[in-house]
Amino acid sequence: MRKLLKIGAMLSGLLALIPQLALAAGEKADELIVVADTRVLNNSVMLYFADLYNTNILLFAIWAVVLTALYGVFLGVTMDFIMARTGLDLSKRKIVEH
Amino acid sequence: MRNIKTILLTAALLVLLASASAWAASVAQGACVSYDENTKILVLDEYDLNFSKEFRFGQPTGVLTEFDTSTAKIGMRIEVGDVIRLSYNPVGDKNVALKIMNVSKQDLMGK
Amino acid sequence: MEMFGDSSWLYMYMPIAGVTIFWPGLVLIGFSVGVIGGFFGMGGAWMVTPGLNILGFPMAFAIGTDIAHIAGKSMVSTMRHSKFGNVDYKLGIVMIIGTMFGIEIGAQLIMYLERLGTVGTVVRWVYVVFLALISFMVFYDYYKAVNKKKHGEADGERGTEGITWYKTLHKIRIPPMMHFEKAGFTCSAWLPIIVSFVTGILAGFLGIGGGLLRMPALIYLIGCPTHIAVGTDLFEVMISGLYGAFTYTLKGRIELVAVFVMLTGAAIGAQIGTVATKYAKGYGIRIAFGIAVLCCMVSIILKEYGFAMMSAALILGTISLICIYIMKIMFVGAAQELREKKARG
Repeated sequence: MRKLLKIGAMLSGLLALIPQLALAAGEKADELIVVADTRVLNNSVMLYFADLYNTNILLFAIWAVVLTALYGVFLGVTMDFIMARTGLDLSKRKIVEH
Repeated sequence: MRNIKTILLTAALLVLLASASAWAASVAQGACVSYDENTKILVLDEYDLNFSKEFRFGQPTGVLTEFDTSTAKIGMRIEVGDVIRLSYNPVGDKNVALKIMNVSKQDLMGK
Repeated sequence: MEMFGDSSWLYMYMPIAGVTIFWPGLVLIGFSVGVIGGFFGMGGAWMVTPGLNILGFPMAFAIGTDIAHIAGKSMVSTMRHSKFGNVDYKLGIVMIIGTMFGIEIGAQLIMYLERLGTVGTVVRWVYVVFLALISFMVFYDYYKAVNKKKHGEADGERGTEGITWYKTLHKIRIPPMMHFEKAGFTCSAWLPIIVSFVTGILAGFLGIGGGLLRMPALIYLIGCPTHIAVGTDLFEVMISGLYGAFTYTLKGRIELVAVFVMLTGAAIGAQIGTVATKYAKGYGIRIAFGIAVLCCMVSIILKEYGFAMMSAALILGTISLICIYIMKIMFVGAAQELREKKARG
C-alpha cells in the first residue's frame, strides 16, 4: 500500500513537469474557439443545444450539468427497479463504483 | 412540502428552457477573402454543405458575405485563404459575428 | 470514414466537436466502463479518455466528455452510500475547496496545452505513464495475494495496520483545526484540502474521478476508516465530476450526445459488473485486468504514432474480451442461482 503513496508523489512530480514540457514546444498562445456547425443539424433537440453552445455557453453549461445529473439519477433508479425484478439475491454484491 | 419543491424545480427548468429559446444564431463557413484589421470587417466566400474527400469543408459557392467581427470572440489569427466558421446574427443590414473558429488552423480532427 | 469503407451508417455526427464517430465504439466504451468498473470497483474512467480520443474526439473533448459522464455515474452510488451513512459531509465539504481548485487548474493546464497545440501528445504520454503504474499495481497485488496464499496467511480486516502516517500528520497543528465527527479524528483543515487539491489536478487533467489516488490518501494520510473513505470519496468524485463537467462545458469542450450514449451503456454495464462479483472466484481475473490496462497503454502509443486503425481495433478488442469474460461469469452464475432457487422453492 505504501506504493500507492509513491505513485501519488510520482504523478504529482509528473504534473509539475508538464508546463515545462509545454514551454519547450514554443509559444503559440492563440485561444481555440469551436463553433458548432448548426447548418448540418436537422434534429431539433441537437439544434437547440448546438445553438445554445454558439450563443450562450453559460446556459449550455448549466444545462449540461443539470441534465447529466438528472439522467444519472434516472438511470440508477431505473436499473435498481429492473434488477430487483430479476430474482437474484443482490444483497451480497459489492457496490463500489466510481 | 415535497410537491412544492418539485413544482418549483420544474418551473425553474421551464424558465431556463424558455429563456433559452431566444438563443439562436446562424452559422456560416467559407474561405476568408479579405479581413480588415482596422474596421474588423471579414469577407467570406461561403461554402456549401457538399462535403467530400477533396472538399472536406464544402465547396465554394462564390457568394461573398460581409461580417462585422468587432465584438466577436476570435480564436486563431484570421488570414486570407483560411477556412473560417462563424456564428452570427443579422442586425439591421450588418451581420454581427459572435464566435469565430479558424477551421483550417485548428483542425481538430485526429488530435 | 476511410477506416471501414462505405459504412457511413455506423458513424454518428457529433454536433459540437464536428467529428463523425464510430458509434458502436462509443456504446462499447460506455458499456465496458460500466462492466469493468462495476466488477473491479475502480473507476474504469482511465480507459474513457484514451478510448474517446482514439475513436476520433479531439483530446480536450475526450477529457471533458469523460469527466461529465463520471458526474452522471457517481450520482446514484453517492446516494446509496449516503443512505448508509458512509459519507462524512463535513470532510467532504472541506475537501470540495481543494477539489474544485485542483480541477480548475487541471482544466486550465489542458486549455493551455491546447493553445500550444501539444495537448494530444502530452496527455497521451501522461496516460501511458499512468496506465503503466496502474498495471504495475494490479500485477503487484496479484503477486502478493498469491504469495500470501502460499504461506497460508489470511487477509486482515485492515491489511494496513502497519501504516499510521496519519498519526504523524494529525500532529501538524496549522490552524484552522477541525474535528470530523463521523470519521472520528481531528486534524488541520489543510491536510484534506491539500490531498483533495492534488487529486483534483489529476482528475481535471486526465478526466478521471481521482478515486484511485484519493481513496488511499483518505485512509493512510488522513486516517479515515475504510467505509467512510469509500463513501466520502464517492461524494468527492461526484462533486469533482459535476464541477469538471461545468468548467469543461464552459470552456466549450464537451460532447453531450456522447455523454448520454456512454451513460446509458455504463448504467447497464455496471449492473452486470457488480452482480458478477458475487460469482467470481480466484485472482485470475486480476491478471486479465492488468493485461487490459497494458493493451490500453499500447493502443495509446499506437495512436500517438498515427496508427489510428490499429489502435482503435486493439482497445475495442481488449475491452470487448474482458466484458465478454465478465458477462460469462455473471450469466452462468445468475442462471445457476435462479435454477437452485427454483429447485428449492
